[in-house]
This record gives sequence, structure tokens and C-alpha cells, in this order.
Amino acid sequence: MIFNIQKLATFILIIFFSIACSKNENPIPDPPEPQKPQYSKGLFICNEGNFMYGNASLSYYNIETQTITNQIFFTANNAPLGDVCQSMNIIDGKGYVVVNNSGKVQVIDTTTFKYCGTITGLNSPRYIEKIDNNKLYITDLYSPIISIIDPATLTKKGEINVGRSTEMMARVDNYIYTTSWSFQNKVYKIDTRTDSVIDSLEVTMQPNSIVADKFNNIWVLSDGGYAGTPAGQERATLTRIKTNTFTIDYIYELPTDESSPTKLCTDGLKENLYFINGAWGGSVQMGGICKVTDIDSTSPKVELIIPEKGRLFYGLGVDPRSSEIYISDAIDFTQKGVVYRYSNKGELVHQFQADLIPGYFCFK
Amino acid sequence: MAQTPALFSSTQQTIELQDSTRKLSAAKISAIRIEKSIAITKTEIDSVLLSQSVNSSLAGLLSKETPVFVKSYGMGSMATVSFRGTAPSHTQVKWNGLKINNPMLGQVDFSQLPIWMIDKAKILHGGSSLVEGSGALGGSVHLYSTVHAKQQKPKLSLVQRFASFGNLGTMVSAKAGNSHIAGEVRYIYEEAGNNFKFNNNAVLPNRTDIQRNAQYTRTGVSANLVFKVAETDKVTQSFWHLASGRNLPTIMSYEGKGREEHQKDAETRYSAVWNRVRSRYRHSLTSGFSYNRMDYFLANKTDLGQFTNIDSRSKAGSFQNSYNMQYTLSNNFILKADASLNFYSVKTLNHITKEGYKATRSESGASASLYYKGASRLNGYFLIREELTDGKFTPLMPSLGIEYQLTKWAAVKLNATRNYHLPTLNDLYWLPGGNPNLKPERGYTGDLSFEIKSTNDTTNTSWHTVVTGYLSHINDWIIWRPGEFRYWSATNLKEVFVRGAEFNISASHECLGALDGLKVKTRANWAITHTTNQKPMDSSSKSANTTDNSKGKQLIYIPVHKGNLFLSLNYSGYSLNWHSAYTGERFTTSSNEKTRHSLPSYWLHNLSLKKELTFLTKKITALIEVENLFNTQYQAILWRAMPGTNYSFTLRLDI
Repeated sequence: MIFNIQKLATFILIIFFSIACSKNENPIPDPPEPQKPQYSKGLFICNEGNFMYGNASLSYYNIETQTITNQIFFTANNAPLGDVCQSMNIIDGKGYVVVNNSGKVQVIDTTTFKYCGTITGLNSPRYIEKIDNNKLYITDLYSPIISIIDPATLTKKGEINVGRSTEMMARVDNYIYTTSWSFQNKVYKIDTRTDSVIDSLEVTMQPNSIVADKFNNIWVLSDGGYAGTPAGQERATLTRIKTNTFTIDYIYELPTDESSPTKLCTDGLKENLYFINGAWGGSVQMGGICKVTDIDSTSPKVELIIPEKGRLFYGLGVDPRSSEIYISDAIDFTQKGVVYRYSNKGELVHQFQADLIPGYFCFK
Repeated sequence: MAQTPALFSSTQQTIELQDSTRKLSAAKISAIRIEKSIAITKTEIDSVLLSQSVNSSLAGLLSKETPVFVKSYGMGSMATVSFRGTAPSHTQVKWNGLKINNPMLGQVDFSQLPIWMIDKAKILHGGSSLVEGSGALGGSVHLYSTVHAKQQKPKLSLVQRFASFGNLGTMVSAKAGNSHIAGEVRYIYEEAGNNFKFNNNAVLPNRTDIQRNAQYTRTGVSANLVFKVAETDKVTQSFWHLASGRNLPTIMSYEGKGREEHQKDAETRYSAVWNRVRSRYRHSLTSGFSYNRMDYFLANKTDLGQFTNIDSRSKAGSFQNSYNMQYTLSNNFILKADASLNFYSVKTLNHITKEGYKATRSESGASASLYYKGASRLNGYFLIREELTDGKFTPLMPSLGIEYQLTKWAAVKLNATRNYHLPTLNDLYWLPGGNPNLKPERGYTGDLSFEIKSTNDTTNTSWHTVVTGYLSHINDWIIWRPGEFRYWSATNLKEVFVRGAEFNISASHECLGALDGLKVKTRANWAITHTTNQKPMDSSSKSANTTDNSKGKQLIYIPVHKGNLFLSLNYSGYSLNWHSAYTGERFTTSSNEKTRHSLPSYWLHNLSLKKELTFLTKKITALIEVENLFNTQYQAILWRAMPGTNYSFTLRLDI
């Protein structure tokens, strides 16, 4: 009898586990067929230009043919882009080019590069994000508000009072997460349905970039500020925030105080992170492009994949389709910068000259 | 007048030389020559020209009259002066013997030096500047405000100027004195609307805009007082105060919500000079102070009111003392020596970010030099200077000048100098990025000039030509090397090689016969400057950056060619002047990109007509000026609007 009960129990357990396993397997889709790497169609490069020189420009790189065309905005429109091109986003087929110190966003056709309008009347715009068909958000460095723009008229229809400057944005569900970078240490959670700040969280000094991953976490990269300033310096960190609880659940500290990492981004599947740990002419441990893997685990791995080697890494972008890595070298900030295109394994594919201070990559 | 450390002697002699229209007696020429011009490359702007130019800025005048390069952001805006492709901080500026370079920035804003408060300007080019002090790797500018103890009638001068764009100027001066004591007070008030129209091709669609937020006001008072204590001794005191407030316009592509950006400057200076002149000795003791305030404010207009981004307030003070002596050893030799002891103090704070620093610096220095005036044709000097800054000695700075009179009308001059320029206090202490371990910048300069002078008394014609070639090598040139998020830091990085030539020709002719009394004067300057970066941006310990294209390229904003032309016709109280200035192409990238990154060359022409008349012993002068005669559209600085043709009318009354 005992034996039978044991048999039965074993049988039940086997059944149970097989059901549990099959249940587990069901929601996972079939792995995609291995295929050739798909590339984005093209790459827009925002060349910041020098602050107060008004010499920002836009370049276009054809990924397929490996050809670069500089000054596409000036050539198409016979006018300069403006002063300090901070970022660009393609929204509903149009390019929104954020020109920070000209207080405006130039809107262009992404094929002809012809100008089709300008969002004016901003202060110091940094990044633009689509919220829905009727609403865009623009963050701002020299203003305590996020502007709400009507994409149909390119005019302002409202604002969100954050109370501090705002920088990059990351979206998870109905919430936009943004950081206040300059001399600040906050991450704000904004409800896009009510256009209001509903929560905030303190992180390491100067959170300069933020991304969302596929696991519904957001990641914040803080450069730690500058030594000797009244605000002080902290060790730079990469922080993971659980969005459901809006709490920090993991912090990676950069190896030394000299690190001032920037430009956090993800690959297309949002399962790996990349950032620049730049030495800015000096030397720094793990100087170059760092890749973060196992990002959902309790101890993600951070490794140096492309060493800086005397270059001055300034901009970083990862092709959302091919996961190729684009890095810019600003050289001395007063000449045309170089862009390096690397495979995801860190092999150099192509290098070319963009324009003055290539700082931001926008994939078409 | 303030005694300058080296070559100048008594006021009387200097003044007589300044006034080119007066003829000098042969005896005086030989007496002055030995001290004045031995192997020194210099340009003098005489009192006559300065008093004719009270309307224009000193920066504008230097740009028109000399080979120096003036970088100006527009009317009344900041203007800096640089020589031979060096930086503005390599131009040392003195007023009545006091160094007036801002100790934080190392440079001087020439828009803050109204000509009305200056009587004489002297420019020493290249290594010749070492005779007046160290640090001027490019050259030095010496300004003098002065009054003479001599029997004179009390004099009152009033000037009122009206100009385009709501620009106005009022100037008053009063002078009185006798052979023992004399004094003078001057006042200037300027205001400018600067609301000129310009074609804005930096926005889409292009449109005609009116320049906004470029207004300024400027108020200045100066006073000079001289006591002739004895026949051999005099004490001169000079006071200067100038306060200005100016709004700073945005660049042309700005289409934001609006900004309030302004700068307030105030400078107060005082100097006292005791001069003693004996048959063989001359001494002068100068003591003075200067105090400078500079407040910068930037706020953005947002929907929630004004958001202040920068509220920076800086104060800089200095206390300066110097002693100069010269002793005539023999008919051929003069020995000179000077010593100085200066203190600087700086405090700056951005009230928004709480960033700032406080710093002090003590500087002492001494030099000794020997001047030789040969009986025949050879003249020369040798100078050695040494300085001690905050307890650290700079290496010895020697300077050698040789002049050889080839013929009665032609001479050749040679100068070789080693000079050092100290880092500015911002370079050392600015937060973030200042670097307390910076070394001084080192410069080696050599120049060779050829001079021809000719005067023909029978035809009333004179002409003067100088051609100077120079070489200069500056090492440890300090630059602010950029890093992420504007955290730039100062490093002794650059090595710069400068070579070029300056051409100057001037001629005057006084007509006889049918056009009796017509005086024609002409002057032309041309400067060719190749100033190149010799060291690419390498990344310190690591391998050099092979993609850097800046090696061997011209430094940004320095034109290879720059020239000016002046023509003046004087007849029966009328004077017609035409000024033309050429600025060559300038690069705005270190790699000298042409497409979209260079500024095209431009010519600007100014025309003025003046009439002087005397009415019951009172002199009345009326002046009409047209600037930018051909309405040239140009950019002196990338995407900064400049005015087209503009006019001014000035009335001057001398009682």
C-alpha cells in the first residue's frame, strides 16, 4: 500500500511538473529564424557645433552604401540649423531636430531633408518624445518645465511644471521617466494622461541619461558631478529602477572617481545596455564603450568592449535593427569629428568624418 | 603724465614727437632719438588723431590704424585686440603705467576704453614689448591720460554726438593750470539702442529682423592733476572710473521664448607718479590700484516666469608699484633699470550654482638694460628681465635690439626676445577645470624690420615705410580642453608657430600753387599672419590621435590677410577722410574646413566730413560720418548680426 501511495505520489508529481512545464513554455513564442542582420535605412548625425557659434549641422549616413553627406540641412534649405544641435527624433515620418541654444526644434522631411516647420518659443530644449498622436513632450535645460507640443500645428499647448531642468526621457506604459541632470540628482515620473509629475526619486548626482529595457525597468546613468564644486562629487553609478514600485533595486558603481560616464543607450531588443566611460584626454579604468549584459539579473555584467585608445568618445548610438555600434570622436571639439561604426562584437566596420562635434545618432 | 618704465623721457619731448604736424628741431631729434626708438618696433597714435577720433572706439581706431587684429562682437560689445596671431591675453595693456588686463581673464575689453579719456596710445609689437614688462607674447598697448603743467588758458570742451539706432554720446572736459599745477576733468556718457535692421539668413524663412537686446549705457569720469614740485620734480595723479551696462544679444538663429542676458562692468583706477629729471638721472615711482567688477546675468523667460540660470559676480583688485630709473653713462651708453611689486586679488561666484573661487597673486619683477647709441650708425639695447610670481621665479627673459642706419633715410632693425606669459587666475583656479599646475606660456620672438623715411621740404612731401617680418614660437600655450558637459580644463597643450609680415606706408603732401593749402595724407597697413598649431591634440599618455587634422593649420578667427587704407584731404577748414579696412577669410575650425566653417573676407568703408570754424575765439567743429558706406553684409563673428550703413553727426565746442 505504502509502495502504491509512493508510486501514485511520484506519478502525480510527474504529471504536475509536466503540466507546470508546459504551462511555462506556452507564453514564450518560437525563437525567430536566424537571418541576415537587418540594418536601419539610414543614420542622422546631430553635430552639436560649438556653443554660441551657431554652427550646428546635420549629417546623413547611408548605412547600406556606407556614404556620408554632411551639412544636409544647410544644403536643402540654405540656412543654418542653429546653435548646438542636441538631439533628434523621428516621429510619424518627420525628423524633429532639437537645436538647444537657438530655443527651437526644426522639423524636416527625412527623405528630402527639406524644412517643414519650426517649433519656436522654447528656452533650452534637449529631447523630444512622442506621447500620442496629439502630443509631444520637449525637455529643457534652462527652464523648469516640459513643453507639450501639438504636432499638427507645431505650437505649444501646455506644459508640465517639473520645477527643475529636465533631460532624456524613457517611457514605460503610460509613464514618462526623466532626469534632472545639471547639478541635480532626481528622476521624475510623469503620468502622460494627466501631464503631471506624480513621483520622484533620488539617485547619484547628475543623472545624464535614462533608458527603458524590455523587462520594464528603467536605467539611469549618473556622472557624479565635479570634484571641488559646492554640489560635490559622488562616484558615478548606473542605477536600475523597478517601474512598478518606482524603487531602486540595483546600483552599479563605476570603478574609480575619475569615471564620468555618459550616453546610456540600449540595443534594439532592449536587452543590453551601452555607455561611454570616457577618459576625456586623461586615463580612466575601463575607458571606452562599456556593455552591460544580464540586465535582469541580480548582478548584471559590465565589460569594456571598445577601448577608447587616445580618442575622445563623445556620442554613442546602437542601431536598433542590427545592434551595430556607432561612436563619435569629437577630437578637439573644433574640427570635424570622426564616427566609428563597429559590429556588435566590437569589430570596426567603417569609419568616416561627420561634422563639428557629432553628439547624437538618430536611426531612420 | 605717467612715466613709463623704459624708453620715454620727459613729457615735453614726448608730446612734441607725438604731434606729427609740428616740426622738431634738429637738436631735439638727436636728444630724443637715443632713448626713444632704438631698435624698438612700435606704432604711435598721436594726440591729434586721438582727439579727432573721440567718436569711435579705441578698438575701431586700432583696427583702422594699425596691423593689430580686433575681434569685436558688434557696436559697444566686447572687443579684444591681438597681435600677430596670438591670443587676446597675449596683449598686455597698460594705462598710465598700471597693468589693466583683467587678472581673471588675462585680457582687456577695449570697448571699455573710450578715446575721450585717453591722450596718447603707443603700441609695441612682438618682442619689443619686453622693455615695458613681460607677458606680452603678441605685443603691448600703452595708453596715457595726461595733463601738462604749463601756462594755459582754462579750456572747456563739449561734444554731443547723435547717431543711427538711437545712439547718443555726450562728452565734457575742463582743463586749467599754470606752470606749477594743472588739472583736468573729463566726463563721458554714451547710450545706444543698437536696434539696427539686418537680413536674418539664419532662420527659415529668411526675414528682416531688428537687432534686439543690444542696448548699452556707459558713464565715465577721469581726472588728471599734475604738480610741478620743482623744476626737476613733478607728481602726476590720475583717476579713472567707468561703469557700463550692456545687454547681450542672442545669435541670429535664436527663436526661443526670450532671454534676459546682460553684463555690468565697473572699473576704477588710480595712479600716482613721481618723476624726477636730473642731467644724468631720471627716476619715476609709480603707485596705483585698480578695482574691477564684472557681473554677468542670464535668465530665460518661461511660462512660469523668469528662470535665472547664471548670476555670476566677479571682483578683481590690484595694487601696483613700480620704480624706473635711467642713468646716462656716457654719450653712447644709457643704463636703465626697473623694479615692480604688484598684488592681485580675485573673487568670483555664480550665485545660482554656488560655483566660484577666490585667489590672490603676488608678482614682482626687475629688469636692467643697457642702451647704446653709436657715434656712427649702430644703435642697440640689451635687456634682461626676471620675475617672481607667488614665490616662483620665471626663467630669465632677455631681449636684444639692434638698429643700423643704412643711409640717411633707411634703417634696419633686429629684435630677438624670450618672453613668458603667466596663466590667468581663471586658468589656475576656475571651478571646474582650473589647473593650479599650469606652467607659464613661453614665447621666442624675432623680428627684422626695414624702415625708410624721407622728407622733402621743397615739395612739402614726406613719406615713411616700414616692412617688418617676424617669427614667433610659443610653447605651452594654454588652452581649455573640452570634456563632457562643458567641463573643460586648462592645459599647457599647444605649440604655436607664428610667422608673418607687417607693411606700413604713410605719406603726406602739402600742395602749392592753384591748390595752395590743400593737404593730402595717406596711410596703409597690411598684415600677413600665418599662425599655426604645431601639435595635434594628443591624448596625453596614450597614442596620438591620428584622425586629428589641426596640425599645421591656421588658428581659428585669425585672418591671414588684414589691411587698412586711409586717405585724408584737408582744405580751408574742411577735412574729408576715407577709411577702408579689409579683413580676410577666417576659419572657425581647427582643421580649417572651408565649407560652412569659414567666414568670408570683407571690406568696410567709412567716410567723414569735418568742418572747423572759429567764432569769437571759440572753436566749433561739425562732423558727419558714414560707417559701412556700401551697406556691406558681413559677419565678424559667426552668426552675429552686424549693422549696415549708419550715420552720425557730432558737434564739438572748444571754449
